[in-house]
Amino acid sequence: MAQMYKMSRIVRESLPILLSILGFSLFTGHNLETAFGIFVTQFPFLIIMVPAFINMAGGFASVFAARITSRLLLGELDRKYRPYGILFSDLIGLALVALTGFMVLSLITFGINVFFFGIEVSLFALFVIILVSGIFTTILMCGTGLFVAYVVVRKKLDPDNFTPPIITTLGDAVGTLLLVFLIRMILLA
Amino acid sequence: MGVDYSIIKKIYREVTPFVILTALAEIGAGALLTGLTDFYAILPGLILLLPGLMEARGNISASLGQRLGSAIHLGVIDWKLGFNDDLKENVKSSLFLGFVVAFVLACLAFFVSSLIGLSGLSLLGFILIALLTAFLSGITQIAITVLVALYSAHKGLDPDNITIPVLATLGDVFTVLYLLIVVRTIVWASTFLPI
Repeated sequence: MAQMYKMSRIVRESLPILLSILGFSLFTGHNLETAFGIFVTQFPFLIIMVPAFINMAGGFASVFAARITSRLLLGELDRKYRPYGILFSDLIGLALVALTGFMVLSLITFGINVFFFGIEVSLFALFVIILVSGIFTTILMCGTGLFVAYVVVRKKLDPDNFTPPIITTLGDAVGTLLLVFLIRMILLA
Repeated sequence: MGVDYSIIKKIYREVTPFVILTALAEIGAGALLTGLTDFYAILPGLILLLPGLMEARGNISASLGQRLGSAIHLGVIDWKLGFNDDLKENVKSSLFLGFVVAFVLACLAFFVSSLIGLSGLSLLGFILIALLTAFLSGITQIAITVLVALYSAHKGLDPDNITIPVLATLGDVFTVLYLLIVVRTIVWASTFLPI
């Protein structure tokens, strides 16, 4: 079988996008984190779940993107993602996993705060904050993954080199902002 | 438009356990990160280096994981084919990208920290820390990605479902751990070397 992967192609396709994201994460990302850090000092108990939250949302969208790009390469989905039944099965499967994952994260955060730190926090408020921001971020990242893969495949590039950096960068930014917004709305109200 | 329930069931069964593990491991990584606060006091510029380093490593490994998933589905890479040329090119690219990105990030972090007046580390120090961490976490994450992708497919699981959640669980923990070790070593070495 002919060799499919060449280092020169992987590097040529990946490096520009990785470097542009670096600039982005160094300036925007850092400012966001600092602002967020100052903000959550009012709610120190929430810090423990932020890295998990961001990584989980990124993980769901990346699994989705990985599945879609494999299906595109195998020809199980055409360039316009038809048949939609397969696409929606993947999406529903991941949405259910995300729902379970974020519910478990809410419970863990609640448990650690109540049993280890003795901090009283409403489980319902945690559910709303984590589930709403988590599901919204995951859906946005999956949508971005579909869009990026669509554009990249049309340009005859390998979507596996493009989807992870773009969706995780966008997801981190939107996820963090949404968390801050919901914490402000619900816990400061 | 027929939704295929077997696909939904397979995704749910294969992905959920790892996602819950990710949540637990990340909370552990968060605790580990607080170990870095001492170093932020000695080397404030590190706060510019760590998030970028973790993100870049995660992205490079996730791309590798996705490429391996696709390649396994296409039959180009397989447990039985072993370390063939396609797999070698993937591994080499991932390691090389990690080095280039770490080097650029170290330079950027140095200039930004000089600009905003965060002192404590020379350009050489930044580059050494970034490259050593990139090397250690690169090797570890590549090994995890390759083994998990190939082995899960060998066991009849879908590598697209398994590889990325496992990486997300272990990747950050290793990167933070290595960074702690490397920073400790560099700080120690700087007492007798001109870093």
